[in-house]
Amino acid sequence: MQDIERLFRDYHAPIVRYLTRQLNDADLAEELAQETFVRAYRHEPVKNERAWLFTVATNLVRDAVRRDARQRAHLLRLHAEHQETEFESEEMSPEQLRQTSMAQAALRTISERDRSALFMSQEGLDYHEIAAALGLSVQSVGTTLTRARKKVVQNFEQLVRSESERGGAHVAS
Amino acid sequence: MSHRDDTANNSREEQAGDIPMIESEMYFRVEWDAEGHATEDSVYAWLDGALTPSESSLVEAHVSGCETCAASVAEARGFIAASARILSVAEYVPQRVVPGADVARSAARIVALANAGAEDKSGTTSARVQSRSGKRSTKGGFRSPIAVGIAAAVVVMIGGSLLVLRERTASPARTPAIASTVAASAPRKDSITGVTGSPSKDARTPSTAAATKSDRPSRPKHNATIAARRAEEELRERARIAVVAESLALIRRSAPQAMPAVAIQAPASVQQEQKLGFSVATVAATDTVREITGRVVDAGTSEPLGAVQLLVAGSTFRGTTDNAGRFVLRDLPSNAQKVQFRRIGYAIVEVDIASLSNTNRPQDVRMSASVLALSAVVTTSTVGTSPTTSLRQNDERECTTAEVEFARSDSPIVRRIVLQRVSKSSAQGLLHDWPRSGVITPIVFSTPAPRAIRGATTTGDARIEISITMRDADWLADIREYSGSNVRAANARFVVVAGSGRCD
Repeated sequence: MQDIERLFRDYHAPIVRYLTRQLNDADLAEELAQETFVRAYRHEPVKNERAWLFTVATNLVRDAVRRDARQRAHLLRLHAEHQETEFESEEMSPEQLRQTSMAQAALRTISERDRSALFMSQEGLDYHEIAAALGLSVQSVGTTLTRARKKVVQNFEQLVRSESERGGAHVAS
Repeated sequence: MSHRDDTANNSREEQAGDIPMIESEMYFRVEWDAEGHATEDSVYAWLDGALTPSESSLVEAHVSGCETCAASVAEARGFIAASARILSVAEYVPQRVVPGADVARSAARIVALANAGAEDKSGTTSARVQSRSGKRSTKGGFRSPIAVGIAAAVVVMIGGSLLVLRERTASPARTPAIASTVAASAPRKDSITGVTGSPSKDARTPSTAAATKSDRPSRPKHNATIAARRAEEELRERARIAVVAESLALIRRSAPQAMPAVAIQAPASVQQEQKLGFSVATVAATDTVREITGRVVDAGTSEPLGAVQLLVAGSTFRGTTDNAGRFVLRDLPSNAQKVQFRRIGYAIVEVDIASLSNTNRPQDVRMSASVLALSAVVTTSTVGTSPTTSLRQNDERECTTAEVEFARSDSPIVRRIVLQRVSKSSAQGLLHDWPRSGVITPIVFSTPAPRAIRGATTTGDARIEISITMRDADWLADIREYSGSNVRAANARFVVVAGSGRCD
């Protein structure tokens, strides 16, 4: 595609964010983001660049996850534990870390497809773009997002509730 | 990875790159239940902006007259906001934006990778990369003259990166007093659609503190490490900037045609941008891809307006202006006629695209401040690392409804205060807690001063005090939450979104 600088400027940050959310691995996310843009550079121009980029990124995530199930299990295990070492930012308080891991746990309670739809919606993709990326109809995207949002929120609430029942002193909400 | 998966992936990629031709492939189709209410999914789709303009108006009209649906809308908004916050909390890496100066370098690296097929940091590859891309450009597959320029830049980059390394080892670490972070935290919306902020802004001065996290508990041992790392990063960043500047000079010298001419912007601002070699404004005159740039200013003060939303009916285009008020319209369907500019506190402006593309006399889009501005529904995801506040306001049948939404930075629970009948003399309100819906507390407001309201309420074990001051274009909110011995304060300007509310 032409004008790779513009593409990069407009879409690199959202793509990296999207991939980071999917993989919970910043380095791998950067790597796959780079691969996405390399492919974009090689590809002929398309009308909807954003949707195309996110579709490629999603496919790369699937491939990466499928390719190394062992690595994936390792990643999942890492994030199931509340370890400070897994977080790159040293600026998070214990309460924030807890909120983060609860949020990530809540996100794991929905399917991979629902999660992808949610992440893409978060980055501003329209229904039809998500539909194309995931091979769904536009109507399905609507029902998927509704269901995913409610489930994530309700499960997060539940985690917050059980945390506060368990260790009352820590949770201040 | 099976062959079948590959094929499926490829076809999905191709499909994604196209814009749907049929309405049913582009928009969600509203569904109504037996009692004539929009289904839950339809309500969400409406809030997401996924309906056709006419269906959207239908739903809006229905919702404003239907109590059941208004409640559904409120609930849906709550879930949408809460899930957005959960997503932001779940992300543990700081929001990253590739600094403007770095885009050239990163883009150059992409090109190098694509051409060379492998990432190789040794200096000996430079000659090979250059010759390969030289061949490529003559093949005719990639016609942009920038390609040659960028390839030349890669040569410098690779050479430059060695330089950087040497510099780094030679100089000692700076004092820990430096407080900047390399990854400047630009607001998220700038990088989603439409325009990104100008890369030549002051983003690189070390004293520009990105979100200073002074209210977070600090740990002494970590601080030293953080400071040292930041010092290192800053040094690296400075070296990078020097390299980029050098290479861009090379681009300009080797390919004078490389930077596209800018027709619309005022010359002064363009010159400034050219220093870093980027120009947000590009004009391409082809039938299939139209790109139009412009600027939005406040009609009264002539100050540029950022965060103005752009909508083009009948297209997927969505954009926002950057902090300098600039926007780019691109990939517009050839039958697109008008573009709408929206910003809370301002009256909607609709402009003919034809007049925007008049390059002979570029004119700014002027928006007039108006407190009671919008009645259409626009949703935003208010995501941030500091307490955020948003105010929705709607003027319907001479009645104003305003909603104030706020959340603590460390919690995705959203609190919403709905103010009804906000006028100069009175207001009543309700406090909703999301996602723990069902907790609704009345708030009593008094109005001590003109165009200001103040009220307080107790919910659970928290006491919430809120005061809202309405200025001409700004709304300021001061929210304090007293919980046990904790006091949390949110003090913010408004990201005001038009919302639809009901007045009795």
